[in-house]
Amino acid sequence: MLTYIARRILIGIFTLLAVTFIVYGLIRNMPGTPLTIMQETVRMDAMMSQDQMDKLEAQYRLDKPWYVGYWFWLGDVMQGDLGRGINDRRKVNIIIGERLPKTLMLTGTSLILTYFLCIPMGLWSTANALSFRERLVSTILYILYALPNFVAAVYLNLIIAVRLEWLPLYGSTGEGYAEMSSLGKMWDIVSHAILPVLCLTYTSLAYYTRFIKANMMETIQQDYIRTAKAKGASPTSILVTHAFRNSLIPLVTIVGLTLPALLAGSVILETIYQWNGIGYLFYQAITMREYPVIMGLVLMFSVMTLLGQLLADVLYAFVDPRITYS
Amino acid sequence: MSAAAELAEQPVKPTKPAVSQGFWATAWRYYRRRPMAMLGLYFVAFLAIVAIFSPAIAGTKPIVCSYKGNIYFPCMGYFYAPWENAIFTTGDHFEKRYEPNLKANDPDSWAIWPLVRQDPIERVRENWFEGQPGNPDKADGKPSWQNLMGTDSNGVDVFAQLVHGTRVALLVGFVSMGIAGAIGIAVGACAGYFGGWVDFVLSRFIEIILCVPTLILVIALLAIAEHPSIWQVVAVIGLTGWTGIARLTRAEFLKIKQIEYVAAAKAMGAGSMRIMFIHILRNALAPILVPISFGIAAAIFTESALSFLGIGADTLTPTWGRVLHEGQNNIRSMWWLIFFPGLAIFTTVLAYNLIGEGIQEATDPRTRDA
Amino acid sequence: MTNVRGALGTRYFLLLAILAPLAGCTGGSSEYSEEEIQAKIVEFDYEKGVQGFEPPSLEELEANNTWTDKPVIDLLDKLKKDLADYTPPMPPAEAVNLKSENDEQITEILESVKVLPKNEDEVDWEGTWVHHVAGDINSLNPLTMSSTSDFDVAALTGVGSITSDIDLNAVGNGTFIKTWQVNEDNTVHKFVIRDDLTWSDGEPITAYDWEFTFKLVKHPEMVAYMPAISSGMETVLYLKAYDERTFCIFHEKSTAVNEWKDEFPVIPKHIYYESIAMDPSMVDSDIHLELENKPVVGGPYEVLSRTRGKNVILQRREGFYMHDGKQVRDKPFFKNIRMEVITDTNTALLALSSGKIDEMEIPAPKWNTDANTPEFFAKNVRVKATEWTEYHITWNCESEFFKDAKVRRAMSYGIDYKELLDRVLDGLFEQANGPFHPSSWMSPKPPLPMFTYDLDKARKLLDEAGWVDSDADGIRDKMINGKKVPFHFTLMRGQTPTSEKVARVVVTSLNKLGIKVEERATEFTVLQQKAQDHTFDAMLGGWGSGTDPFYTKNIFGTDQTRNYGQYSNKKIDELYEEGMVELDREKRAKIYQEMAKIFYEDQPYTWLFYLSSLYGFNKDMRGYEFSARGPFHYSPGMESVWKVKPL
Repeated sequence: MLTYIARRILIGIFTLLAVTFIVYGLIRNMPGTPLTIMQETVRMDAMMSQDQMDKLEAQYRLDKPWYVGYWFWLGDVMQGDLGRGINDRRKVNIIIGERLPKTLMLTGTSLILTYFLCIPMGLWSTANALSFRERLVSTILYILYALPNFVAAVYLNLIIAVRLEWLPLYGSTGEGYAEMSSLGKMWDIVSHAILPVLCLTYTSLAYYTRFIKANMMETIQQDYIRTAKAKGASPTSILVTHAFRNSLIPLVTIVGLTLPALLAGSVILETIYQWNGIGYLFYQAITMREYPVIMGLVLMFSVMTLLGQLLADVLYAFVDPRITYS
Repeated sequence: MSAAAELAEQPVKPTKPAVSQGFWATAWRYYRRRPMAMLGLYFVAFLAIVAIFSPAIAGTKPIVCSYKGNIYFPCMGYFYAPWENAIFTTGDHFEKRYEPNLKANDPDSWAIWPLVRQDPIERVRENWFEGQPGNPDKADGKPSWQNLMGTDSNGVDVFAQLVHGTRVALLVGFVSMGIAGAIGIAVGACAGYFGGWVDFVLSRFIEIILCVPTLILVIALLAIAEHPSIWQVVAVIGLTGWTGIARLTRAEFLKIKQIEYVAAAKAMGAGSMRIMFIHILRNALAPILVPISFGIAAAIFTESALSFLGIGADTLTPTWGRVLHEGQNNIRSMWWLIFFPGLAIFTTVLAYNLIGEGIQEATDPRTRDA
Repeated sequence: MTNVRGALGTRYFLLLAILAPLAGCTGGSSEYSEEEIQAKIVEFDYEKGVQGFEPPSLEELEANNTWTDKPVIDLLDKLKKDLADYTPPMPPAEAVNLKSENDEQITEILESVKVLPKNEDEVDWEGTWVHHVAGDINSLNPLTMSSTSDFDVAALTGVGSITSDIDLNAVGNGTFIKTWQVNEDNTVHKFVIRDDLTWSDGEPITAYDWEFTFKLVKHPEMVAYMPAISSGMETVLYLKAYDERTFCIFHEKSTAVNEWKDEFPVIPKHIYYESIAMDPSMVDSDIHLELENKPVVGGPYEVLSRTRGKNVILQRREGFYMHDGKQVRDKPFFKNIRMEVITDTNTALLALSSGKIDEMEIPAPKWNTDANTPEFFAKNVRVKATEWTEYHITWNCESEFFKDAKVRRAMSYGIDYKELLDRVLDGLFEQANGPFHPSSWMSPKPPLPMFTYDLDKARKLLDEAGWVDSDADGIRDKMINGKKVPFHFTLMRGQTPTSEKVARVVVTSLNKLGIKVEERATEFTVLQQKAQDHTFDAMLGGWGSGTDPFYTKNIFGTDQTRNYGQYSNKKIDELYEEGMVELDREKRAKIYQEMAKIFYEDQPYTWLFYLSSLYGFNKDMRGYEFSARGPFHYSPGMESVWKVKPL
């Protein structure tokens, strides 16, 4: 297994090269460059002269074909330099690093919450399949799925933050955060996070619950479950210990696939709650053609994606001994 | 139990073994017995009917009319603009006002009108129909007898938009998930079944697609596409949305190919294709059907997000997503812009999932009798 | 605050170390010796951008020129004097309870709230103004500013010699400048600055700071870091400081708009002289990182703290209004101004309603909805004023559709203005028919008539131009180079709700003429790129008010950089040249009026309407007045705003 993992990591580096190469090619060929916008922010009466443009192009390596630019970028990355933002001219790792903890707090909490809610709900739905209660719960979940979270966010804000003033309206920390006691800081962070986490989580409940139920429904029909039933095992024990363990394969796949979402954030919710996370940064970087920032983020996402895939593949072998990698 | 009873009632000729029904025929037989699944199917069929007959349900152009001695079907213009006969547009300059113009230009004309005289693109003005006032707009556009589901901020009837938007909703969902499903299942099945270097290559391919952000692809596509259309949206969603399905299929195949019956099938000389798509796939459907049935609905959201980026349906093509987007801009003042498309999406998601559940249970021999 | 930042940074680095081999090394903070610093300064060469011009000595200048005095006004002080005996139409505290249901009410509100305090006790001197900004503040260094939020900070903290008054005329900024004189042909501008100016670190502000900053702006290496400032400076040759208080600016040509080029923000030489030579990017070295968050400033406010993506807090600077123990300028009205970043307008409106921010710009679609609720009116008042920002459709005059001015005029007749302005846009905006607002000095008198929705006229023009529906498919077409071309074009637009509404009306209006318009929301960068490359048929856009009509040369002059529609008219080009060198305001007005008439005939654009500034203000806010650029972007602008002391 260890050799398998080592091999995968090695291959992963090549995959990363391929991905970054493709993405670099794509972003350099999207219409517009960072200078397009810059031309529009200068004074009304003038645009940058050709001379100025050439200097800027040289500085951002836009004068070179994209595949040459890629090698320069790669060379810098090898030396641990992700480059510099174009609008926010700090180093890319600082720009991303500033936002990463906030995003992790939002997405991590939401992801954990999703699984904590959906696994029991999925099991419960399986046990109560086709009953009225189960139909009611799943219908409610579908309604939540169809309710866009920007709608929920605005109404939750209106009621809870503005009318009742129970929770803060926006931001990730309040005024005077630095002066608070550690307990105060904790509550401050939690109170700011409740609404966005709620909005981020509820839409995905239907999908995961349904997913777990679908897989469980298949498993509980297997022969060994009948055997367990015949042996007189309690229904809960059958569901949890026998059936659930055997429907873990798809769940592991999904966990692997959702791992990169940890870093992705959510553009809409980050905007509504002025959260300053990765999602909005990425969207903004793309629209402003901030090549170095885009590449830094894509690199980070890709590493996370590959790790997620690797984790899933490794876990398969643990979850189901029949699966081997030779 | 009932299946057995049915079989028992059939006249059995002991000398000849009964020819078993095909896999899909059996599945259909079991599917039909599930009322909820059938309900889902009926609903989708209903949507399809709405989509096909949308110009007859809501519109301001006559379904059929006689004008200056000829019979015309102007409502076909809702499907494709040039099908609206030029005599009404560049000829006699009706400017969309059919009723007064028909009467004024040809007293002998007659017309059969759609059920609801509302346009999905433009606000119906005061002088379009006799006795029908112009549409209200903005916060005044609450649902009323004239505008069943209200109007949007431009005064365009929401009901008409939703009816006509059904075409795009169905198309985007089915075609994009059709593409995604086909690619995902094929890639995942090959990777999982063959393993080895096939798995190696395909898995890296999946990884690369997973890593390239869709937003970048979409904007890059703008560079190539001169007139981005709904088909490009479908292609983007389809060509990028299959990775999850592929991973799930692959995982199931990795597991199932080790089960004895696959070995048995192999021993009996079944080809790889047969084993993969007949023997294994039907047992691997459970986890795949969920992302597909959700994906069909999610495509509606994606379409709305993409049209914001300038790719997708243009103004003259009404979509559910557009109403929702309008709602987003008027979120506190016009609830009906969220409620009705939300309701449409909810029922669609529900229907697709009921169908998904039904298919899963009808194709799995172990769950059929549950 | 710094501690928290540091902690997050470390945590992040740990994470990245696991994620990828990206152990980034930050800019070296290593100590340099005095020799090394001097060597760097020589290498950087501050004169690099201004070589080839030898400024004359002050004696030569005085001998060879006769000076004309230009106005130098402390505009806040002037406003205070002007309003000293002013009686508002109704008490401001009552006016803010009006709900702005019609234009009369809005005028009444605006005329009432513009008052300045009659006595000191009215003002909440210890208060905080929470000013809403929609986008993050990118830079606190005035030279590298790039967004409107940055400009707001620069306006409150910065130093400059020229400013614009409420009528957008160039005025010597009396806050900092004592005299401003120009020579006969307007090529040399002589400034004497006041002697009671200090930077926020206590050092005096001198003419050498101007010279230093000017050389930076012109320095070829710095251009990349400050495109917003340096792009307009190409025709400015030199800025020479003759002593601590006197400097002259030398312009290349004699034009009527040279004074606008005197305007640039100034940074302290004693702070940056060494550090910029060491680190021209101004973000790498530790000292620059520190200055970026806490710059040394010369304006009425200084930066107290900054949290990226959240806020910048400014505080009143005693060194600004006190000098040697004497009050030398007006005391700024607020103890603190907090620039609060809220990107989402729904959230911002909720924040305004609940009193968390004191004012914000209201998006037009929300004027009659979210900004018209009891919740909103509980704490706020809404006001509106016309801006000189026109909104138009640019026709690509080189495309096969819009080559012919007849077609463009047909388009202008084919748009349902009544539906657009009165219904779709709520009657908030007034119709436009040219680049210059009718109330401006450069617009034709009497004003030109507005285009009306007249389909018959439009059809006639299209028929004349050869666009007819020859194949009876409902779309007009024309044979061009032996090929039948249907009149089917794409209308490119931005992603704002207003542009979406406008585009819909255009599409459905023109559809009735037998023209198929495909409207496309286009991502901003793509839109700009296509505009700059002229690869579009038509696009929706708007130009904000420049301070002088000369600015439109860039837009309508042949082959000019912002002439996206490739409009070309020799007469117009000539008139622009005339208008630039003519120094007499009356004669210039005639020139631009003539141009407006040509535009009216040619219709390179179909002008649709002028935008309005729509704002919501907390009921306690006073002292705001609207210029053609909104309530803040002029002088005194933000400086005249004050808050009523709570009882």
